Amino acid sequence: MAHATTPAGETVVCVRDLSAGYGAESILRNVSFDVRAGEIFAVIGRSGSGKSTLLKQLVGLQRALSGSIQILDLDLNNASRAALKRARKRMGIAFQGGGLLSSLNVIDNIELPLRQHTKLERTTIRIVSHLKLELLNLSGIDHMMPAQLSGGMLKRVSLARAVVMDPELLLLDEPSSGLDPANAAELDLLLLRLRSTLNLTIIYITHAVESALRVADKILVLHDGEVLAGGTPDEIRNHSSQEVQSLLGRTTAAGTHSPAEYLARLTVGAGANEP
Amino acid sequence: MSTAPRTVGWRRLSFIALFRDLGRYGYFLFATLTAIGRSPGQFRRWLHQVYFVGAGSTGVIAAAGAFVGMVVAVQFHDSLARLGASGLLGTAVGLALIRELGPLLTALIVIGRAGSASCAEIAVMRTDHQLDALEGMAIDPFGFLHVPRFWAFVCALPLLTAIFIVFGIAGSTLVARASFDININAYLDAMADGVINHDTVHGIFKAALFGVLMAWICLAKGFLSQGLSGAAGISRTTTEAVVVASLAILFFDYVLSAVLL
Repeated sequence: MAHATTPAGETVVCVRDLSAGYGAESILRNVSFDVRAGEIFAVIGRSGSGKSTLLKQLVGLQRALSGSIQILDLDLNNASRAALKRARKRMGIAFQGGGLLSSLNVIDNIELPLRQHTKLERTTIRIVSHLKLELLNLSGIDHMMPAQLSGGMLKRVSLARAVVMDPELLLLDEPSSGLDPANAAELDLLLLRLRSTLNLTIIYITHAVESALRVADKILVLHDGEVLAGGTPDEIRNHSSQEVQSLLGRTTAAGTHSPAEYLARLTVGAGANEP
Repeated sequence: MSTAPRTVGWRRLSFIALFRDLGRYGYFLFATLTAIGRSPGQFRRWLHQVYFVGAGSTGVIAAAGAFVGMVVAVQFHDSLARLGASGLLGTAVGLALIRELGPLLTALIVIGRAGSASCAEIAVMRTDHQLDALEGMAIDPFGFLHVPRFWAFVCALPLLTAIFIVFGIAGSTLVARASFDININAYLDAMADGVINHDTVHGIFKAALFGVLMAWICLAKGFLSQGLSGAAGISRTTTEAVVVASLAILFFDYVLSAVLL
């Protein structure tokens, strides 16, 4: 479980001119960004903007059409299978639906990476797994099956499994999607707590703009597979692009206006797109 | 936009897609065969799968074997009686069950029960991103998922075939005694005299090969599925796996019979 961690401030992920897609169909075009050690880096954008494709590219689950990804000192384009496997052991990944193995109960799901990649004794593995469960405010659900868990619990169990190997880099796909506002806010706090207690670098894909503005150090805005904007939350808030403001406006409106005004703004927004 | 078909079913068969799929299925088999010992806990998971494929199918296989044995005894007795060779009933039933019906019908039943279930399970794992999660955790899906299932099918099929044959012989003996008043000892002696070791090896070899075929096709079909649209997509994939595996087994049954006899 002990990894050579990247010193704070150094580049952990470097993406340059990345284009990716399915077959000849391009979903991401010329995407470039850097993520530094210790940062919480949010990727936001509307549905279909290429956020989840970007995550799969970062994990090496898909081949890029062009461009380069340097992640944890590994060039994904030229990485051998063994090198990719070593790099993945230094990452923790939580997919949108949780990705928990449906045939295993909660504790077996969390223990799985430790059982597969370490020679720790069974009791030690159990203790480590329980520590992670407690870190994520989960207890008493060891023997529940994934199908018995609520959406919020699934996300947190998936997060517990992602951090059980003490990774350097945590990649999260839509961690707050489908959660009610209270659970989503709790998840934001959890991310901040994980970053400070485990000294993590976190990349998270989300369409919850408010959450990104609250939690992230840097934000990348994707639109139709291209980078629309990038920078700190303040820089994104003050960005001149109408698309960025439209993306932010839809969310901030809910918090700052009455429901009637919010609905009116949404209706006007939808009308503006009509021919 | 690419003009190449994204999925290959019976409706969108093309030569390029056919060769691409043959390559993918070939790679799947190679990767599965070379992943033995690559994942901790493989033996325990193999035992679990042997229980699922083998023990879970024992009841239905025993019942099917008994009924098939009874039917074969009735049919063969009628045919042999016309030729004046009723005394060969034991030999004929024994050879039919051991060389042909045992391995073939066992395989077809196991495809329907365990092959389809394994295909559906893997396909659901694909759509739920469980396979992506495994790869993301640096866990080789071949070593973790496929090796235990593959060898469970290969090992369970000969055992289940043996059970089918034993119950088939028991069923046929019951019918021979009750319906045709044939002495049980004479019936079984005729069977023992007519069946040689080569026939038994032939049957068991066939069963193991059928296990390879069904495991390969059913697991690969689920694993290589892409862009499945919910329950309908998984159901279609499972149906295709059962159809293709059944046809492959029937075809190889002919090839093996022609070669081994």
